[in-house]
Amino acid sequence: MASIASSEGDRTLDPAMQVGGAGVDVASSTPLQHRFSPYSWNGGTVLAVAGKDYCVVATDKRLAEGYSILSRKIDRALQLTDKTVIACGGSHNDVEALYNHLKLRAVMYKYNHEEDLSTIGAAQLLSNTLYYKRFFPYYALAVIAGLDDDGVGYVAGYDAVGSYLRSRDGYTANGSAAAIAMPILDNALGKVGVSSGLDEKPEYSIADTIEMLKDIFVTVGERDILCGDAVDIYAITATGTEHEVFELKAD
Amino acid sequence: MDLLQAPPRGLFRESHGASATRMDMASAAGMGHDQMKFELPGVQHPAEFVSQNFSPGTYEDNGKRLKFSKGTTTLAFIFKGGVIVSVDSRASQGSYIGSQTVKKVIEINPYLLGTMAGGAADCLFWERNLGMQCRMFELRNKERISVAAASKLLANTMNYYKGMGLSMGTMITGWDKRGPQLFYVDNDGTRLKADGDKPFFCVGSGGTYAYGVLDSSYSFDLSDEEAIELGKRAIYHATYRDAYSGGVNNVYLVKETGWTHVFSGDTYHHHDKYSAEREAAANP
Amino acid sequence: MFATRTEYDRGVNTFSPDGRLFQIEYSLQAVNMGSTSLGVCTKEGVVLAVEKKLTSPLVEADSVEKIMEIDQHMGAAMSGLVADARTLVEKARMEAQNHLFTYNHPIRVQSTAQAISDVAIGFGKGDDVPSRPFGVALLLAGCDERGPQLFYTDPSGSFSKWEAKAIGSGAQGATNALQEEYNSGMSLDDGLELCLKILKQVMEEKIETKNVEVAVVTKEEGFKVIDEEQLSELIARVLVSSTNI
Repeated sequence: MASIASSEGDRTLDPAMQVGGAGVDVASSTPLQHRFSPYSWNGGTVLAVAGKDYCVVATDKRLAEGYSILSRKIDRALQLTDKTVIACGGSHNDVEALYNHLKLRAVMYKYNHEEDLSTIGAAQLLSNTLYYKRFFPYYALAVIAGLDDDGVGYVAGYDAVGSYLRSRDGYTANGSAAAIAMPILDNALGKVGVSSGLDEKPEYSIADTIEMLKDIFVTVGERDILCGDAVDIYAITATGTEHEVFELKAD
Repeated sequence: MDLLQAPPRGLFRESHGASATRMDMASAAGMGHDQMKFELPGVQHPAEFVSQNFSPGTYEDNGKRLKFSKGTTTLAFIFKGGVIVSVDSRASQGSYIGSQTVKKVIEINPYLLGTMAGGAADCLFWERNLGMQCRMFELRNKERISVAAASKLLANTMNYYKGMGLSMGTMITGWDKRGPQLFYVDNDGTRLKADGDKPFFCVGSGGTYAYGVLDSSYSFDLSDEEAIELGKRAIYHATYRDAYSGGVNNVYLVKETGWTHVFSGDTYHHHDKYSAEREAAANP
Repeated sequence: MFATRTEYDRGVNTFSPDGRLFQIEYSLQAVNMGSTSLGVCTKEGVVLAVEKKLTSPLVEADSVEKIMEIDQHMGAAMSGLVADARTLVEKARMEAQNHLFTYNHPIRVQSTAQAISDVAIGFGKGDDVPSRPFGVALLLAGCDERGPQLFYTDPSGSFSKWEAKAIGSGAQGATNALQEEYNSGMSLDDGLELCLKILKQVMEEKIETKNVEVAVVTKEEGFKVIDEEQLSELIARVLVSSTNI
């Protein structure tokens, strides 16, 4: 199990909380430090692009633990409402716990306020939900994608404790291969700074955007061992959300 | 206030060590945190565990994976025309630049600004929370909260969670009955008022560079234009030397009528401008 | 065991054999004894108007407050026990701020009415609410994406949406007048005038700026209490038009 805890010091844990397992260091015959390590690192890459009247979010379906691939068809995305999709890399147990909570909140919101939770509302809710676990975070690297109240594409990326910002240029990446994928998106779509080349970037159609995201995943899958197998793609427009699965190499 | 609606999970709920006691104490004091139930890890010393594992300041060297956004240069100073707030826009997670377009000035309300340095989520959450408390004050008392009181609310919050690993270095600024006001508040609960002796603060990893510029060029009697220019210049020099600072420079001017966002521009263009000026000065 | 009706009103949780909760009915009576409040919903915004019953000529009129702001887009007028109303308004303000904090969007007027009703029927269930029913009814006026709206909340914990509503001691006369003169197409100005005209009719004392309080909620400007200057103009207009009839 991947560990997030450091083992320095001689801290002992409440016996009920021992998660790391017991053992004895044979060489020195001293007891092995128990560690509270409730996190795994299961990979997961999320890319999202917003357009004038659409939004596309794509995330891979590989679930890995260390160097082992545990599943090739995991669902990392959550269709929260007709207009909002959330996808997360990170520790899949936390991601699922987070999703269960958010699903409940979205349903309760609909009952209480007689309307769907908006994308902007969901974005703030997600931020606060993550922050309320500031002292024991969900290990979930989230991206929210959807349409805002005016029907314009909305994309925001989060850190594990809920810092988020709507992307001004309408794209973001998070999770395992974010650092590889982000420069590609910067180059294709970025309007800020000089690193991205052109000052004027073309407007892509929703079909072109989907193709671009597929291309990026094919590329990234060749360089990140945690990324591969298949990609869930959600295309969100005013008329609803379309989902497709795009196969990647399974090596 | 029902600020946390997370379902209870018996296993990890409070009742562990010192920090749980602190949580109870604060609810008794009616500090508005009574319903804010932050889940704690089920270890013997949650505060120690949390501050060692989940704080933005400690991850860098030990390869921990929960990388929180951080890194910054922010500054603010009082001058005769009001208050200038000038910030960069880079958020880094380790050596990876998470964003170049962060808004590090948080518009708490039309007459109060807060800046962001340290953990992005910590700043964002507690300054929004402060905005809510200020609004409640306004509704209850039918007048605006003073900057001194607002900054004190935030300092109290920070003091309350002291030792839990929050990371926040912020400047709260605005204009109230007592004129232009500027306070520095951080995660230790420190709260400093800017006055004649120390009319400015620089916060963040690039703050030392910004201090150099302000120390050499600041004067209380600057005109609005000169003050804005000084704010830009200080941030430029910080982004030039501090790798954790960069992106876009945003400048705000606080006046009696409230704040205005007076400038937003890429520091790359500043580089052209200031290096040209230096060349011109060297070769008259 | 219980010989007369009055013995079924000893506890707030005791039904009478014919299915009534007398304490709640009494609390509704407290509303009927209160000063008159009016609400009128127009296409352009909502008007709230209340009579301030000043107990003595020595009372500073400004210190009597019967219309309160809940958030930028919402306000409430009250009839009944003002102290109870303050508890409800405080809760409503909290709910509004909490909603904004959680969803980054102002709370709906209807959701606020629901929240107020939840507190009203939650009497006896916490340290910060009374152990008896709240003796107050609110007219909640606000504007959101669904347009200008007027809600009525009462001590029984129910709420309803109205085009125009009168509560308090003058409710009966005022309701008759509203039924005759209100139409959903009227302008905000007409609404203001109608409210003051009816208040003038149902008030025991002569209407003046000191003994009425008026507020409007519009999409553009949100909640605004009408200032004294504008109020005296309105009253003058109402006094003139009624002498002509």
